Amino acid sequence: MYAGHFAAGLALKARKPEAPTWALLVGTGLLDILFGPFVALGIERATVTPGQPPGFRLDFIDWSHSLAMSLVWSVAYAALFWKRGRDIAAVLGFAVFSHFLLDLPMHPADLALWPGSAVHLGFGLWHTPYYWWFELACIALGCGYYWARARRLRSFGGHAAWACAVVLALHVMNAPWLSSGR
Amino acid sequence: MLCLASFVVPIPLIAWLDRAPKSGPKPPPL
Repeated sequence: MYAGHFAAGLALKARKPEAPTWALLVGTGLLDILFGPFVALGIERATVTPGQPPGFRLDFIDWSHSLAMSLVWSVAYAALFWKRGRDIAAVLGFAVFSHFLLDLPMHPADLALWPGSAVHLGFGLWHTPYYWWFELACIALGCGYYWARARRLRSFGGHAAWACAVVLALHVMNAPWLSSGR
Repeated sequence: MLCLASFVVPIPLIAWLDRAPKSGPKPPPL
């Protein structure tokens, strides 16, 4: 999942408008943001699989994406914002964990319980024809909620429709008929 | 799953679009 994580960030913004938008978006994407350097450093491994959706295979992502490490990153990220108040720290911590929750239906069984665990989770929507549509449904829900709350509260989302359009455009760019997928 | 670059542009852009709406000037009193 890619754009769906941004939609989750916007939905959390709508739920807690006091939370900084950039921090919510970084939070929802944090596990993927960590994955890049971890692969570069050899801590995690992925293999490119051209023509086979989603275009790569995640061989070892336990340090960024396992259930236990997702919780660790969530708590660590929340701690960074503790001074902004408990509620804001909590929603930012949940933003990080939402990544695991949204990846769970999409990934094949490559989400370990903890680093090195033999048990791996993932329902494998990526390997079905429905993965792009499932993510689209998540985006519709998240962005719809954000857009409606932005119109009602008027304390954020000055260009809410454009923000949603950017998320949707990112998802369209990721469509299987436009690319080999991610 | 994406590399770092896939977040560098969208996050500032979406955050910028999310900024609070400007309140327009108050209409002059009648």
